[in-house]
Amino acid sequence: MFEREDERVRGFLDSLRVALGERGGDAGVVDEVRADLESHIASHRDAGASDDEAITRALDEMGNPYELAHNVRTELPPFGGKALTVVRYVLAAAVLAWTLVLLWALRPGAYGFQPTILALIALLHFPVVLLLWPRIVWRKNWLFGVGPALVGLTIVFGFMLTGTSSTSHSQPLLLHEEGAPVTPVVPTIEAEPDRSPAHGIALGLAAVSFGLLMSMQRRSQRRAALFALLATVTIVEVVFQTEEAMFRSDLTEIRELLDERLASSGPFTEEWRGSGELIGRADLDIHLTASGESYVVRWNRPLSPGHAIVYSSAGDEPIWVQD
Amino acid sequence: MRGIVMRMSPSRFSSELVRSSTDLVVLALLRDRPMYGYEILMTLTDRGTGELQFKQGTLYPVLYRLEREGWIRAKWETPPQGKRHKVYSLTAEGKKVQRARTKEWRRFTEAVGSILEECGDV
Repeated sequence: MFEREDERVRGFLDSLRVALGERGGDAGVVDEVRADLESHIASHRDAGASDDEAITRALDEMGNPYELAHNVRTELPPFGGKALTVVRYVLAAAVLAWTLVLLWALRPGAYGFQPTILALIALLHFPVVLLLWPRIVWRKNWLFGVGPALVGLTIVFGFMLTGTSSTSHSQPLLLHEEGAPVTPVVPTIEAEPDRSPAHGIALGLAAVSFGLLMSMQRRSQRRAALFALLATVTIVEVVFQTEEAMFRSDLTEIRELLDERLASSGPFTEEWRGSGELIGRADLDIHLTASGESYVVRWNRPLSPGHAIVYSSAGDEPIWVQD
Repeated sequence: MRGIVMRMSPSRFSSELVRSSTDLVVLALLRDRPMYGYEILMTLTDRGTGELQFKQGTLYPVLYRLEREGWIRAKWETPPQGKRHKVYSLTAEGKKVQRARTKEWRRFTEAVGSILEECGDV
């Protein structure tokens, strides 16, 4: 009896699995039907039906497995065959890896947290990864469709492109004819508008990414996608922030030495350029300027040999990156 | 859930009528508490006049559609005494939709009922 029982239920579930194809396994349809079927059979048994009767009734009430599969297929998205799924995983991973490489290559060119660059690179690739990644269940009722997202992107981009204009006044021209009073003429010169398309693009991409995240049906998948995005950016940022923190720590030590030297002995007597071996730091270049009152410290970034962080004791922006 | 199982018979209503009300009925049931598929079916049998019934196989597509609409969410759970099941519950959006559709349904049935009454059919 038990063998027969398993056989009929197993037969039903096998037929359902075959009829569903990829959609059944991925969405857990067969597992769900199995669990409910077992509860259904147990209920009939509790009501006094025999094992055989309980299974017959439960399977009868479940209906035809092929019809069930047909109805379910209309509601579940097609996930594609195994080969296509593997290809999509590989492509999505490749885009993610490319994003990391790009972030790694561009980040050393700036000092400090650069939200616009990070946002531009990460959010440019994030929607691509999401759309490539298989098994994501997208909402049927798209609150943020492609159309609205594109409109939003265009509006934001356009707004950022308009920028602001400013005016500046030149020196007044003094015109006079002989005997006439001096009449100053003050021409007004329109300065170039301050355009920052990068900010507009970053904002627009953020809107598109947000729209895509909201279009994902399953919260677990949405959380995983957001985590992947933040992890990608964080990995790169943490590494370079650590490198910059090391630079700042070394710089503090060097500044103390040189500032003390300046304070005690006055301006440097001659221009000098050399390595930091003087203070036991061969990875630094120190340049004492000709004025004698300032110095420049240059540190080759260990993670990106083509770039160097530079500090100048004079000037408004003391730290920048040189490549 | 009671151990008594009522005989499952096909709905006595036309399929169009049942189809038009299935979403609302499922949302209303899930508003009370989260349930798995078979539990929804049994609760449906226990509620109201018991006349509205449908086969278990027709419930799953409804549940998957409501999930893709964002009105319900699904989670596999193992109760302290029982087997592992995929349990469905209403989302915040689902609650709003359920309230709105319930109002709409009441207005609709009232409108249809009043016409039938005037026509002497009720």
